[in-house]
This record gives sequence, structure tokens and C-alpha cells, in this order.
Amino acid sequence: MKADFPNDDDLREAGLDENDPVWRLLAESPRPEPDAWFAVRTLARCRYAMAGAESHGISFGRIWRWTLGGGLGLCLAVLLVTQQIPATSPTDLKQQKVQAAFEVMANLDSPETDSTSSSTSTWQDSSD
Amino acid sequence: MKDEIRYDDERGAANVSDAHDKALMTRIAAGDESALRDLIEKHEGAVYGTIAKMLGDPVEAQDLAQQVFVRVYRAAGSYRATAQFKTWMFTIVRNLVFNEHRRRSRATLISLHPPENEGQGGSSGYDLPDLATKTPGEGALQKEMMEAINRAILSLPEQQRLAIVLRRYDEFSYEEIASILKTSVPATKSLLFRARETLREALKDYLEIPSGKGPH
Repeated sequence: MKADFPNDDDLREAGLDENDPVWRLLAESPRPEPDAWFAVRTLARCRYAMAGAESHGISFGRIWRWTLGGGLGLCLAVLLVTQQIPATSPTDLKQQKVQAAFEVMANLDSPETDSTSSSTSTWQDSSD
Repeated sequence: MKDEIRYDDERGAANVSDAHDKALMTRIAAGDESALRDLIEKHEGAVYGTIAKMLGDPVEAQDLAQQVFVRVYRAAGSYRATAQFKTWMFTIVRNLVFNEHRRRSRATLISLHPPENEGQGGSSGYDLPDLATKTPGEGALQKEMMEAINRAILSLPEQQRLAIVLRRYDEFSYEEIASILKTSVPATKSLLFRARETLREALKDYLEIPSGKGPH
């Protein structure tokens, strides 16, 4: 029953026996009291704080929704644009042109030329 | 035996008071503003008084005390009555007061002027009790002693100061103070012992004479 109560030894240990002169001296400087309107002002401040928090919450929610929607839209737009851009880079184009040129040259060397165009082959000896 | 009976009465009253506080918090969570008013009126003296003793600045104390109740109000919806309400509320007090101390410390580093009402020399800034019933000499001595006591309290490290204020003026138990300060009961006793020794040294001039008669 007395387990939680600081016993005399505890009080002496902590030096907080009410017979302690320091303890009694502190009573000479009592705790200050709030003025008569403290509760009224505090209530008003609580109301104001809650109203502010609610309006702040709404605007934050709006901002959040707009940010989320805007972000998704932006991602979608970026995705669409990147899908439309050809995957070939200028270097690829250059390589394709060189490749095409090589193919043309290879066709010129080929003995199995088209019969319709054999007469006009540049490699055909016209002296025959 | 007498102590046991007194303690039982006190503990019973504390339990009833705590149950009442928790009921008020439930009503506040349900949007009952009159419950908030009751809660503020019940605890304003303890909250404001403790903060004023801690800061030595009645204006700042009023602002911080209001912030405590705003936080209590905001937390009412999520409040779970796992601990004593008063201990929980004074944990908010502790956080705000210690934050204010840190803010002031930073401001002092920037400013060349020490904060008013803190440390040695300045007036404590408290509203003094009515001294009209005393002679001018006694009133002046009383005022001087009060200011010396307040200065001595303000000169204590913040943990010791809060421990001594909670114990002396709010009559918290060691367990409650330990919970508020987030420390152990032996550490709380140690804090109180060191605080008392510091105060004894700082106020030795007033301890050697009968109360209210001045140091010399």
C-alpha cells in the first residue's frame, strides 16, 4: 500500500523533506498565476489553430491532388513524346547511308545482273 | 499510519482527477468545446505557473502555456489514455520549454545582449504578490528575497529546474517526474538533490535568517 510513496529515507536522500529550510524558502516565491482571461484567450487560440489547420489541410490536399495529377500527366506526355521520336540517332543514319552505299557497290560487282539492265552495265565491254 | 491514510486520500483524489481529465479528453475529441474550457480552467495554473517558473518571463510563459493547450486540443482525437493525463500534458510542457531554451540559447549566441530576466542581476519578471499589508521595509525585503529565489531557480540547469519546480510547486511524485523527464527515479532523485544543494548555496544568505527578514 505504501510501496509507491517515497518513504522518509527517500525524502532524506533527495533532501526534499519539508523541514528542509531550502524547501520552505522556495514557498516564499509562489508559483505565478495566469490572469483571469487566460482561459478565454486560450480557447480562442485553440479555435483559431484548428480552423487554420483545417483550411491548411484542405489547401494541402488540393496541392497534393494537383501535384499528383500534374505529375501523372507530365509522365504520360513524356512517354508519348519519347514513343514518337525515331529511335535512330544521327550516327545511325550516317551508318545506314554508308551501308546503303556499300550495297549499291556490291550490286555493281555482282555477275548475276539483271538481264534487262545488262546492256547498260557500266562494266560491260562495249568493244565486242 | 497517518501518512498512509493521507497518501491513500491523495492517491484516490489523483485517480479521480485523472479519470475526469480522460473523460474530458474524450468529450473534446467528440467536439465538445465546454470540455476544453473545463480542462484549461483546471490546469491553467499548473501549466502557466510551471512555464513561468522555468522561463522567468510571464509574457513568454503565457504564449507557451497556450501552445500546450492547443497541442492538447489537436491531439485529443488521437489521445490514448495509456498514462496519466497530467504526466502526458507535462511532457508537452517539457518539450516546449526545452525547445524555447534552445531557441534562446541560439538567440543569445547571435545577440550581443543577454536575454532579459534570465541569469543574474535582472528582475525576475513575475507578478509579485500584494505586499500592501507589509511595511515598506518588509515589502522591499520580501521582494528582494523573491527575486533572489527566482534568480537562483533560473540559474539551475533546465533538467534540475524542471524537476524542482514539478516537485515543489506541482507536487508530482518521483515516478511522475521521471516519466516527464524521460529518466529513471534514482536519476530524478539525484537531479533534485543537486538542485537543492545549488539552491542552498545560492540562497544561503536568506537561509541563515528568519523567513522574510532579508539577508543582512
